[in-house]
Amino acid sequence: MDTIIQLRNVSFAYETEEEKNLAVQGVDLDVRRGEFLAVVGHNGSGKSTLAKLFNAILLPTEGHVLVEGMDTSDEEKVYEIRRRVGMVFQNPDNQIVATIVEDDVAFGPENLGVPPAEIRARVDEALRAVGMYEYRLYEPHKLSGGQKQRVAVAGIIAMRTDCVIFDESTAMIDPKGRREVLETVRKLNRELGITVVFITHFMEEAALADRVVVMDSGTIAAEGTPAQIFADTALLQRTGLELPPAAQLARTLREHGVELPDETLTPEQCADALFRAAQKAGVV
Amino acid sequence: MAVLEVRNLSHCYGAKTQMQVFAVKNVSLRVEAGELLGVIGHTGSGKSTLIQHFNGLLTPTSGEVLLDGENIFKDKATTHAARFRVGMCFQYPEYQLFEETVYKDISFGPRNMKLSDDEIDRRVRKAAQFVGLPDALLEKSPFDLSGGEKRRAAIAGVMAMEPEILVLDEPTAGLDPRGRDTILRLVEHYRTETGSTVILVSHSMEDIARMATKALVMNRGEAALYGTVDEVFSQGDKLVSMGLDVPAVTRIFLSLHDRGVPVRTDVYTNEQAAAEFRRLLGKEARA
Repeated sequence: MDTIIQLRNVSFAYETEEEKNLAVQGVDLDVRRGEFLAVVGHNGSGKSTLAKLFNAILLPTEGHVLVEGMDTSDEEKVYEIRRRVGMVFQNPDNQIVATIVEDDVAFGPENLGVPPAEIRARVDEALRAVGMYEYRLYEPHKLSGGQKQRVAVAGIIAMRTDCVIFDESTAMIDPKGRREVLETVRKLNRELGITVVFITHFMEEAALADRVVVMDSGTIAAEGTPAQIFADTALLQRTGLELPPAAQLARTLREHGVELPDETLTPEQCADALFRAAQKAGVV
Repeated sequence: MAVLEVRNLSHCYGAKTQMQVFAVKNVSLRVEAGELLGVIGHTGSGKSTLIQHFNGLLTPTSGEVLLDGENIFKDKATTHAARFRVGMCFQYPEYQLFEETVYKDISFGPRNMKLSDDEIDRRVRKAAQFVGLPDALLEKSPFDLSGGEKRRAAIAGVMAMEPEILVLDEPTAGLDPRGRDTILRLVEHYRTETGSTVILVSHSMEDIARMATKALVMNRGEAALYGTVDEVFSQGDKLVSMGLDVPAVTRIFLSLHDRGVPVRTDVYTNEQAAAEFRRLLGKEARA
């Protein structure tokens, strides 16, 4: 499969005067074009450092990060790399630069030197894609956290980015906002083919990904489909993770003798599985 | 007697201007000593405005707040005393750490209460113990702690005032699963050890379902639902209609019910759900 980002034996150390703290150690990872990749791991596992290595916010102290073949250590390529791989941060208030929503979305393409007529078209298209077109003339501070994050996403896709990294972008917003952001991300992934790397503490979000990478002590502890990862109880225990709520319910039901398929990770899958179990028992 | 009573409290921002909005409308509640009240509501529902009245940070436009039967807005001294009787821990409290050492930071509250040095020391060490910060960390700079430790140090600073009521606004926001679990467990331990009343504001219905004795649901400034956790969570459809995130279990059972499966929809824990599904399949006898 086509690879968009390649990490080859990547290490990164935060250095202070007294100590050297290795946050990422010898990581090899390919991000595949068009996939929805979730990265999970407890606080301090190295996942946010990893995120910042993807588009040259941080440069590896060892090894190489290649974005469509371009090395992030090559200073001349940084612009090109950032144009292809964008990032949405954790705090919705830290990444809005303009006083009107549509100006904020236009900021990226303006800096790329896109002609004004084309900017207009891209901004409208991007705001429609994230469901914020009606809010284009709003002042950003009047929006909810989830809406602000969607504006940030629009700002990135207006640059025609191929890949978006979400660095715990749902951590500081309420459940409703979280659902809005997640739905938007899934839609962009499915409909526009944008590659998504989604770093999160919420296991129910990771359950929706094509692939999950588990970080622990700066290394990749495991990699696989959500079904594979969440079936490995010892791994979850060891890396300080938990099952998504729907999978917790499935586990309790199995303990009570209800037979359910392995892939019961999301509320939809769980409801479907229970519906079929009820049908099989002839109670529906 | 109720340790905290709120009577017909309303709070209006921009009163007597054309912009006036009621952030809190006619809310009444009674919290008994030792209870854990969970407060739920989405952003802008008025829950933060409401809790800021409990220790007199905000003055109500109308209505009363009573601590042990006494109106805290009776006079200035009573309002001032309420600051110490109701300990308030805001969202992301680690941003408010500021002292040179963790010890000094935790002692800030008790020092303001003009307690003796011995008493301050006792309280700081006890609070640190409650939140699981070892003595060795107390002499460190708060900025050298990990994210989870900073959060716990900030909570200890409020606990060290030994308030009758501890109010925690989203204490687990932004933490990983293990960090969330640690905070919730220490809050529960603190409550059972000290017999204090705890008010927990949370977006996580799962957490409220697991820990609270009573739940208050705020919606558009009003107390939309208020009662035992059972009474509130059994009304999943109402919670959904207010745009709230019901526990995944409730959502799954609501969806089954919609599809014609004759299940109850008032379940909100895994155990209840399992029992209800077994009843449906006619498996009760196998327990």
